Amino acid sequence: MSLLTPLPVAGAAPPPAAPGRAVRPLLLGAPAPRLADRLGLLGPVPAATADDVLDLVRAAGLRGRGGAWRPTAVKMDAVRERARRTGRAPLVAANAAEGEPLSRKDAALATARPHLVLDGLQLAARAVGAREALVHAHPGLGLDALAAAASERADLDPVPVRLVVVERAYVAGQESAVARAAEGGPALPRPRPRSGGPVEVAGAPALVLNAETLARLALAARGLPTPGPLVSVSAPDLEARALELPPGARVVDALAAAHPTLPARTHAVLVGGYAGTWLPLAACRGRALTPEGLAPVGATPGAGVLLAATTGTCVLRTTAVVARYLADSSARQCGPCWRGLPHLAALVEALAAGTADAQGLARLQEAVGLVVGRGACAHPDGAAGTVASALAAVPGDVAAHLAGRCEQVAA
Amino acid sequence: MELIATSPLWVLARATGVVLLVLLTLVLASGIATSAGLRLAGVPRFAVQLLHRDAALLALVLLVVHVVSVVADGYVDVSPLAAVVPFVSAYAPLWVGLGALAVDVMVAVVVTSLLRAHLRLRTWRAVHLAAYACWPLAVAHGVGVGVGTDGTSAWMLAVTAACALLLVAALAVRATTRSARRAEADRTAPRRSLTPAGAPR
Amino acid sequence: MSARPDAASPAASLHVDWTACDGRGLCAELLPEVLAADPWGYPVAAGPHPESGGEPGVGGAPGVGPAPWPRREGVAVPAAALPDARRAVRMCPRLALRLEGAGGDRRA
Repeated sequence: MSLLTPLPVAGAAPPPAAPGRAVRPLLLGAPAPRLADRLGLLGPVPAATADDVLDLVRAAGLRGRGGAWRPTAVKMDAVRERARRTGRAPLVAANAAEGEPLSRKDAALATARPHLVLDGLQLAARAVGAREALVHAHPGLGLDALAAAASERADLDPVPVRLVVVERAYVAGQESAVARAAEGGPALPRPRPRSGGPVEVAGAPALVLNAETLARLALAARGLPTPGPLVSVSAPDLEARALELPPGARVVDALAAAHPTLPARTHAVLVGGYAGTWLPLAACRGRALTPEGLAPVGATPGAGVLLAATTGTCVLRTTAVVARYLADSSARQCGPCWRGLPHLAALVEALAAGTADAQGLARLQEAVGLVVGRGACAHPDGAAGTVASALAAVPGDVAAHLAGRCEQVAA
Repeated sequence: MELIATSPLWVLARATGVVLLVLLTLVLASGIATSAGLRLAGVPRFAVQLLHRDAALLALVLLVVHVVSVVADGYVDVSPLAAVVPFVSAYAPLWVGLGALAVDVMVAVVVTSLLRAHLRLRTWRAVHLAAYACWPLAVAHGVGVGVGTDGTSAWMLAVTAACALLLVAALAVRATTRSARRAEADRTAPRRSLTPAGAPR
Repeated sequence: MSARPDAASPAASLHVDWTACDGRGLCAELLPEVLAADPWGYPVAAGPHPESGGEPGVGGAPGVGPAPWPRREGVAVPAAALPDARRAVRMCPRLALRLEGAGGDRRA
């Protein structure tokens, strides 16, 4: 079953066209079944109790596709437990807000299959007994399709759906930022509740699930096979694009799917997005695009984002751009983040420019350690991880930069 | 006048009034230093904060002595009610009233501070900011009620001026550290707009 | 204070609300056995980075800079440092510190 192929919609306006080249589903898979109703659903979502849905989620081994890969059943259990203890009816939220600059998959999915996401949202609401469902998306990036789909089916959905428009920002898709936006506040992360439990919207426990996670839940509920990974691949000469890969696809397969010559031209890959892990291409070979596949090399697929550093592209210069972007993206709520990340970015920029000496490198390594773990969200950790992995991925180039040269770019 | 002025309670009331002004000044100055994140050479920050707290608690004790001695002394007619409810005093209703107002503010500030760990920071802060009103209220009370006491004597005016100078200095230092912090915040602010970047080149 | 046999074992964990923390630096002064101040005054774990290095993919080079900040589990406070830790929590100008696991989670 394909996630990105637009479903034929009978008797309804076709979904808005995918923006440019960004959405080109690779896996055509089985054609979508002839639609039984005007909404273009894959047939109705089977009736299920809360426990049925939870069993289904467990059996399917569903995990969060927003980047953290937390088992969905664990999140559902936590929300149910909190709801039981506090007596508050929980909320569910479909998170299609992808702040990651190189991620395209949630917008592509929301545009191609908004009803799958909304089906999943209703199932998730059933699992935790939610009375309100939210949809978070960025304007122009899947929001219109989700809004149109939600209004089409408003009288069929047992749980009312409310749309939350989120301006695009790097930290806006973070789970607690979603909860805050749902309260009408700014889409900025906040500290986890003291209990360490689920995020809360105005005191009510909230189940925030990535749009892709929900689409997968909707497919699993119909007994359809599990699709392969959704990824967003980009390179200096290749605009970020969302792709659906066959199950078991590896990092190199994703690069080849984006462009046939890409694997041969690539020397390192930033796996997992701006807050990801740089790996030399050799370390990626044979690695499946799953947390388990990438764990041995210290990486995670995150939200399925890959950035290829092709021949002539300096990993350190790219990292400097990324570090500066992440510093600029700080919500400026936590001191070690808003002061530490610009400090870190400046040190990476010096190394990238070839103006840093050994002492500068030591200060850079110290600056990495200074930001890890010290913030309400993992934003500083992500920046630290990207910088630290860049140093580890291209040790030869680091040495060259200390000597004022670059292995990729001629002076 | 001479005879009455030697009444121990009246002496006590006036003496505690003077000491209270000095203590309040110390409390306010150390509070301003703390909020400025000011670091005096060789003095740890927590010491400044301990001074702030202990001086405030001592001031509260002296305030009780001050109020009780005024009320208990029969020279002027200040009822127990007038000591805490502003502007109902039979004697000098305005000046005693300002003092009563200062008492109320100070009690509110100290009580919320003792309960600080159980309050929201915003609540505590809102009440705590009222402490700034305490000082001018107390000074006005002292000078205004001072006709017939020592409040307008040269030495008392000198003490008041010295206290005011210390506070002005503390506020000036805080203003400069504030602007330094703001300058740093500007320096680290995003250099360009945050439209999501494509693949960095 | 006499050192008890268990004085060095963790008795509680200290958590920082980084959105509230303003880097005033009182906690590092009051609790030097657990906290130090970073260049901006924000608390870091006292003591050197353990040689083993951080988790894969996260953290600096092994042995460089301060010990990584344990976001989830908090910084371990040994029993001997508990009174100081309570004082630091109480005196934080921003109420940004929280002590957990020291006989009730109230802000002592």
